[in-house]
Amino acid sequence: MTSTIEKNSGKGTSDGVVSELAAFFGVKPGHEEQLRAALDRFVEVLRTSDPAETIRTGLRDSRHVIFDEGRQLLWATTFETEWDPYLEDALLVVGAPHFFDWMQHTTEADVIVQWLEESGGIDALDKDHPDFETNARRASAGLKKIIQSRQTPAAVYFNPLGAVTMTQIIKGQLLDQAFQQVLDNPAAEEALSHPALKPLLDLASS
Amino acid sequence: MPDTMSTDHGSVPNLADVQAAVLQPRPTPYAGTYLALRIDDRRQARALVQRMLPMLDSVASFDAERQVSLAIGFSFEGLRAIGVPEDSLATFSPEFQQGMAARAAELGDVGDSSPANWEGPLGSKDVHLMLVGLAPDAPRLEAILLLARDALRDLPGVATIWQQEVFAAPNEREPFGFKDGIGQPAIEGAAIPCTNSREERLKAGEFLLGFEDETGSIAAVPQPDILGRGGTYAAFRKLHTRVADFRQYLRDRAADRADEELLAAKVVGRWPSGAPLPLSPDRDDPELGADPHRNNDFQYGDDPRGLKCPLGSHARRMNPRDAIITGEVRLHRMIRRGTNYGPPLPQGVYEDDGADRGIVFAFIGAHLARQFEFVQAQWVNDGKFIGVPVEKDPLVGANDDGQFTVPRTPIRRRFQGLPPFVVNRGGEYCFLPSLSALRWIADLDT
Repeated sequence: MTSTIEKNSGKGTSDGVVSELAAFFGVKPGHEEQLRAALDRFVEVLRTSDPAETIRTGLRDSRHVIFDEGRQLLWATTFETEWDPYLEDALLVVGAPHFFDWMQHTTEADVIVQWLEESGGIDALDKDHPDFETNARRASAGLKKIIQSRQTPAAVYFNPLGAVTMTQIIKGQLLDQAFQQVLDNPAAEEALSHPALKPLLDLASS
Repeated sequence: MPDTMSTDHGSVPNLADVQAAVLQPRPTPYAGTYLALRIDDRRQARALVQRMLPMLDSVASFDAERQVSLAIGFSFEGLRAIGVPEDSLATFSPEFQQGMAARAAELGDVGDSSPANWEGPLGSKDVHLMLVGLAPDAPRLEAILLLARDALRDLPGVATIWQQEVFAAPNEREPFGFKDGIGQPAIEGAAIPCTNSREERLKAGEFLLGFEDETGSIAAVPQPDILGRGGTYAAFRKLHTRVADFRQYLRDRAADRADEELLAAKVVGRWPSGAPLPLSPDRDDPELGADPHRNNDFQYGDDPRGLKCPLGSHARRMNPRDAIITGEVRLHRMIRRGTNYGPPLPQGVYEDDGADRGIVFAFIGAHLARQFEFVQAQWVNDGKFIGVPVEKDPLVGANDDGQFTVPRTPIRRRFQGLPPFVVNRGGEYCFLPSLSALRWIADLDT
């Protein structure tokens, strides 16, 4: 599918069901190592989150690249949902403190601090706060505005798996696992010989 | 270090300057000996090289009638021990400088194959100089070894620290019972028969340093030029084969004796006779296996699913030819010299008799990383290149409860619980200098 600029997907570009976001931030002088450590913590939150939760946000991947001899940071991510719900859900899954953790080392830190203050403070956006969900939904517009101000759309974007969602991919994996279990059964040949199962039998040889 | 960079980097190697063992196919049958030497006195080591130079054949001078050869290789520590200057040593490939033991993680030498379990002194910094003698029979081998030992006389500063007898059986079978060493690459400028009519000869620079290679460029040549040009790298490994385990594994999963033979062929990619599965997928064809004009003359392109020869079989992994894989096959070809050691396990025996048997495998090529290490890491010990990331080479891979798929209609067969059938007992990276480089080494005054 040709890459197109989706009106509802921020400034990003999409291929099939997948949209991309690339945002560039400045790195505060002398903060490169602290930034790297914060990024490790940020991605660890994603890694240890309930897979169902990350799928719900639409996340396909997330990459932070420090470049220009430690002076700039690229945050590149792809996602399946629209831009607005992606950022809203990302904030709900990760929590503002983990965004602030790495963003405080960028030259946008002052804007981030201002956004947090306007949103009731960092504690109000912590997942442990009783009104976290309400607060986060209310605050997400500010975060989107900050990220979008640093966003540059890809000139082109290609994703060979752009036609399928993570849900479909995972379902395909589960189906294949089940199919392989069936094929390991000595009775599989007889069972799959029914005409109704011919499409499966056609896939069974390799 | 004198600047002896040559400006003539022609594509045709001078075969009168290349050690015969680098390109010369081995006789069948043959007897051979690997000797590892430690250099305690560099001047005596140079005297040894000086004495041995007249015994060394080049590819051009190799006597096809006598079929006797002697080869000399150095480890990185060996080049240092004999006095090659440090600024010259720094120009050798990083992998060679590190040595095979240091590359264990990249090579899949883990578990029983890890350097901690290697047979001494293999993998240690004591292995400096390797001598390999080959001849069609034991008496002729002994004759050439006598010459080598005579050259060592009165040189106590060069000590023999390891010796391994090897042989090729008259039927050319390796310990698992399969004909080996069939699919060698054909090389531009070398008078080696091209046994696959569908494969163009490879550029000489794939196998000799200082010449254009398949990338269209000339790889870094160890300096000075006279030391590096016309030389090549070698990797040898003493691979213990668990033949009884292999036979038992197949017997336990086969329906009958014929199925056992078929499964073994699917693992190897060839039948015991050497007949390739792409040309004879259903039964062995000894006539085909014995015919050097036909037994390597095939591709995999008409078998994309591996119904004739499994995608993950040993032979197909070692040289995927025109199969659709990730990567460029011509950049990862290698000259392979596998030779047997130890007594064969008699046919029909399924219990291990405790004897040490296996293959002394030798790789020869100009690119240790791109050829030997790539094949070992990607094609032997990974499956991503054929779309099966959980599968390794079923015969020689570092399997630990591994998996192997045999495509078949209507339903594929999948084998689980593969143990390692091959264990590395030790090895080393070597540099095989040209004859003029050996003269340069012998004349060093450092």
